[in-house]
Amino acid sequence: MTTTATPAFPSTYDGNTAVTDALSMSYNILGDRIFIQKATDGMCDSTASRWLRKHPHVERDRWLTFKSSSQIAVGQVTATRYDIVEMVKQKALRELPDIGLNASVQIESPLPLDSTTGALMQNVLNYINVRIEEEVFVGTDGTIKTRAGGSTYQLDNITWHNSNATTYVSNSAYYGQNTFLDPMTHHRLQHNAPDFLMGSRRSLMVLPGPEEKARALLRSMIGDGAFRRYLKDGFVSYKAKSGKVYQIPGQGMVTVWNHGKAEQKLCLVFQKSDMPPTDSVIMRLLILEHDEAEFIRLAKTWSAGSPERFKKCEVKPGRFLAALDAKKQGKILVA
Amino acid sequence: MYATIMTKDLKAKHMVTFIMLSSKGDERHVWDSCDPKQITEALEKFEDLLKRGFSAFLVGVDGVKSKMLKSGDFNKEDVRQAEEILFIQPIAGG
Repeated sequence: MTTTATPAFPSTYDGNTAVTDALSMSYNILGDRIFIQKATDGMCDSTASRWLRKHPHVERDRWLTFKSSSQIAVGQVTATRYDIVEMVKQKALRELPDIGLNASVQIESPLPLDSTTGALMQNVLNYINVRIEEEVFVGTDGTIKTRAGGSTYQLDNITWHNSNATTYVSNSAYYGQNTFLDPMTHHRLQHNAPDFLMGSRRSLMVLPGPEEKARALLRSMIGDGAFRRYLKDGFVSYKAKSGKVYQIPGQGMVTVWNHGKAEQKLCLVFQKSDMPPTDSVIMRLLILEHDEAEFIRLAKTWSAGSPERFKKCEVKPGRFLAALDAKKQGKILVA
Repeated sequence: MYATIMTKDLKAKHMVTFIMLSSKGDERHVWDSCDPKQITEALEKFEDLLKRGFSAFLVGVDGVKSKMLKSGDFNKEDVRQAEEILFIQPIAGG
């Protein structure tokens, strides 16, 4: 067992880059659940604020805690760090289903992150994988602490680099406690389109894990702007080569629009019935992108609805409006 | 195992992720396109999933068009250079 003391705080550092990168990484992992909890360093705070302005749909004060301080969120960023970040990301993605939303992982990695340090980081991560409880902190001195139990573990074979150029960067992901949902609400959230969650019902942003993951994947595919529209409208629009527009909802059939007219409805579903709604959007979007004809061939076709159907729904003027109309026309309405 | 890989040149590594859509959201399998052993494993997984009725897609990111893959496409260059390959569960007209 080898450990070294925490390296001295560097005199020069690039906190802006470190904070921005760490935020981006956390955002990639957890999407909207990111938030800035505390920044003890003014520069880090302003950097984080700038980053947040560029990501307006990220809710502040929710879910993911990103801690940055002048002590840890500084760093001379080297290229190898991205490999570590990617590794951490993959690790977190693999762990998310297992740890649910009740655990937190804090990883502090000393820089420069060369390959040896990377290997050591991986040791730490492997260790977390088996030890993870409620909150785990990996210290730069090679210690792992669990806050809940108050236990401290010392890792074997950990040697942190301790050169003059050593600085720190920190990524702290805090997974908020899973709010209790009654089974019915959980079912509704699992099986409803995103528009169910919008507007005044922001408090219902607690999504089941699978749907959350499906949305993160969809966002990476269609980009932030289209994803925002999906959350707002409940569907993704795709314009095919034929010029037709396919409206793909999270739930229900795909509506085909041709020159502003609903032409038909197409139904294509997973054979398994318990898939998250957004996964079905991904599926239909992928097949449409690949081959429109194939999509139509696979799907079951339904009529978009006849115009006669809508005639029955014409709005008739109420008594008050009828009276106004009569007055305008110089007629007296007999009650 | 991972630590051993990490001690080699990090920049030379090219990790590919298989994303399988499932009732859990998705399941991921990351493999190294420079490691012959992992390539073999990935090829087996790829073919196995296709046999089970999954459809494979090269994922287009931020507006780039996605491409469907078929059995035997695994050794194509664009597959090896891809970052993510997405597998969707068997589908049916409803």
